[in-house]
Amino acid sequence: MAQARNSIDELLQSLSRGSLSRREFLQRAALLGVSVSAAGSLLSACGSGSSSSASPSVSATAAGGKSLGTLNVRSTLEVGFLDPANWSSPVDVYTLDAIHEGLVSYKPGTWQVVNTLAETFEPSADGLSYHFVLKPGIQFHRGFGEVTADDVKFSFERIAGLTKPKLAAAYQADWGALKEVKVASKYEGTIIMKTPFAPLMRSTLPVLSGKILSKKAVTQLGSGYVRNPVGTGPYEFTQWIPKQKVVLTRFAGYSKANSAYAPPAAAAQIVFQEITDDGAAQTALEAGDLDFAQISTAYVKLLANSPKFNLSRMPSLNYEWVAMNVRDPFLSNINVRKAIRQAIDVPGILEAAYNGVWPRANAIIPQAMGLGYWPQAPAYNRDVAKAQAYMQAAGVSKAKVSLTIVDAAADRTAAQVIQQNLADIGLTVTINIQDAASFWAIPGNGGGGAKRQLVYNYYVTEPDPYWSMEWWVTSQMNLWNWSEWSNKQFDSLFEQGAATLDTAKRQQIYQQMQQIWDADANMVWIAFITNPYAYKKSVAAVFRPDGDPMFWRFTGA
Amino acid sequence: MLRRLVMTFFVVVLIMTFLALLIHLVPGDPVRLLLGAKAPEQLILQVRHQMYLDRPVPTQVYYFFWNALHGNLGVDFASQRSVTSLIWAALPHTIILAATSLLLAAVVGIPLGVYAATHPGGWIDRVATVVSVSLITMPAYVVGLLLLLVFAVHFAVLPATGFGNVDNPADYLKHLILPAIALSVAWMGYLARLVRTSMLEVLNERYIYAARAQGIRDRAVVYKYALRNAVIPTIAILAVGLGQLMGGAIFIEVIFARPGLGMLIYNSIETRNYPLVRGGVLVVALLFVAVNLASDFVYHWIDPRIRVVS
Repeated sequence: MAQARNSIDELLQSLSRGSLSRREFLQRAALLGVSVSAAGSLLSACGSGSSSSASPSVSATAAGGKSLGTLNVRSTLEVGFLDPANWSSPVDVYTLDAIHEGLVSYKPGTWQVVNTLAETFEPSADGLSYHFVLKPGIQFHRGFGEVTADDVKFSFERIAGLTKPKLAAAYQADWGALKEVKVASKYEGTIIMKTPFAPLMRSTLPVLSGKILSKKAVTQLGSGYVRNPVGTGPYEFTQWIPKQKVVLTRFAGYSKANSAYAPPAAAAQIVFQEITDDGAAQTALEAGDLDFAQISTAYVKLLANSPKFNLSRMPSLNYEWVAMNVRDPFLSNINVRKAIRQAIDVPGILEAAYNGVWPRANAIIPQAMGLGYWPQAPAYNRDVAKAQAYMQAAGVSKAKVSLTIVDAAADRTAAQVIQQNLADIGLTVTINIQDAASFWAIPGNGGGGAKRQLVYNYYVTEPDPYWSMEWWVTSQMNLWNWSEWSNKQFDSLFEQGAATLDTAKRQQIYQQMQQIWDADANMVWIAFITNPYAYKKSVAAVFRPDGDPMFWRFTGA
Repeated sequence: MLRRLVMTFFVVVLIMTFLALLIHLVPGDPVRLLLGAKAPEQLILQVRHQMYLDRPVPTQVYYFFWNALHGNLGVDFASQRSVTSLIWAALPHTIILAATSLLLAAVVGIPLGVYAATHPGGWIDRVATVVSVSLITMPAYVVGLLLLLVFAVHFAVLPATGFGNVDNPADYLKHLILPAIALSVAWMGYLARLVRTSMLEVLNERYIYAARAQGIRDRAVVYKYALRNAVIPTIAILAVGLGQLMGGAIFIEVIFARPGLGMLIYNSIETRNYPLVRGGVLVVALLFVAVNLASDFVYHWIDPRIRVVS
């Protein structure tokens, strides 16, 4: 009898934690000899009101959203490096975002920069210094002590490569203009820059490169730190089983640094389960094994009116494009490039390759960026007659051209649409499908090599136009500038955009850059990459303006 | 058998040499692919050094052999864990899945084959033939998807993903059911056909007639005298099957998001994680060779005719 009672207690605890569904509770209760009516009464007493199987347990909390038990989330890739200096996949970003905090952060759902670990944060007018005062008493996880200005100095100088031993950080460029961080007292310091760097307040400080690490933890853990990150965030790292899952647990000693703009963390645990296959993820979602998952675009229409799931289709800042190599003898003629741009059916590509889920791009900067968007960017809709007129002006009636793509299903579909479109204006397109390793080979050999003509590809970017433009300047020729395009004015504006702190002026600069680029007709803009997410209706999800989920901010609905 | 051992040794050396050279046979720069576009040159050089890629090719082959012989298959740069430990963590799940599938296949397929052989031409035999041929033609991933949709999604009685809690055998077994069935279905049909054919041959042997003439019960004739001889070729096939199932488990592991050696290799190939690809493929190859060698020994031991010839 006592054993059965203990077992019932265990069942109730499992139910409360959300590791047991209602169905499973009833089944196991029956095995313990509990009648159905009694089990139902127990369920009601636990406040388990959800009718879907294996949903996280939901109960009201004092303020903010409802609490969650365990939040089971799909991770499309394995975790790479749990280190803000060297993260390698979006999964790293989501995990680190829940563990770490910075002096400032983006307010959830916006691009508004708000103080988090900083009590005060004051940039100078010339952009050469940033004075900060930390909130006292902010604790690192696992007893690594209080956050001090020394930790701030260590965190930023480490990525910049200024510490000894020097760290070869993949994101060193985010702090490339850093001179040093001067520590005035335990909580006070100043970030000193060599030159003004406008993107600092958008793509460095509020995101991973601006996170504050524990100097003590990094020093103590050494190379093992990437598997045992220590932060101040609402979640602390608990477990990482490589190729399987990462588990974060709500930090009991959280110092509420984000309390001005976020409610208390609602999920007791966040489990990132690595499921690389879209089909397996979708099945897991429907079976109730997952609460939140990125899904394929093909699945979006199936779930559009689902009573069980909500959908998110926010476009990211990343962009898909067709580049034309202007140094190729055939494509050096601007009329040929204009003809190609006019002949390609971009909406047709979006429908065929991306099931109509990805929004069209008319220029490089999306509206979601919040800075640099060019609303009057022309949309070149397919016009065969106009394209043929350009071809006539170029003195070309028939020609062969190659289109290099990476071996991916959507890219192959898009390439076939382009092939068909360009056939209508006398261009025979040879689709050159490359393995990812050779496609991305640099320097100079990527995208089909130095003799590339048309390339269908995508780039990712940070929430500042600087990072979108940086790959297309003259210095990137033979590297990542796959249109091999060079324009002195474009280059000069790029430098100005990095050094100008005035937002309105930067807006003008980046708009002008896009206008110059558009006039040269060396790109066909396709889409802004959209990662659709599906999640249970019992979950209230929060996203950044670029569609990235902020798991630490999720609550029960 | 000595010759068999020597041949096995050469096969292993050939496999290891190929794997050591693999990184140079595939186009593209694996380090840049691993680290991405923003990686600074210093980091690239550091990783290249860690992966021995800055040494001459013969030196790289030597290091691979030397390290592999000492149980060191390199380091997974992404997780900074040894490849050996990652494989050691994943391998048991694949072996358990493959072994369970084969056991299921044998438990269903062999009796089905025996029953069909003892009722030749009857409706049972015809039904068994249709069923076994149908099962052979069903790819494991198709069966897996069907099982998922029915039992995990529609009825929600079995889990869809993962392998559950290793410390809880019941939970682990629950997560094993659907993947094991999916992987075993084709083999059920194959073993049923194989055993049926073997049994029909053996049941027509003179010593079987003699046994029946002596009044030995039919059950004993079938299971004690006939099946023992008819199952001999099946043992050889089972050994090959174990190796094949470990390879075929890749699809099932992906569909069921069940971490195992197959999934480990599959994900590593996608990301060009060469240390893991090499280590994983080497382990699979070695297991395949070992299992086949073992089956040769067993075959040699249980079949008196082979012993006499030797």
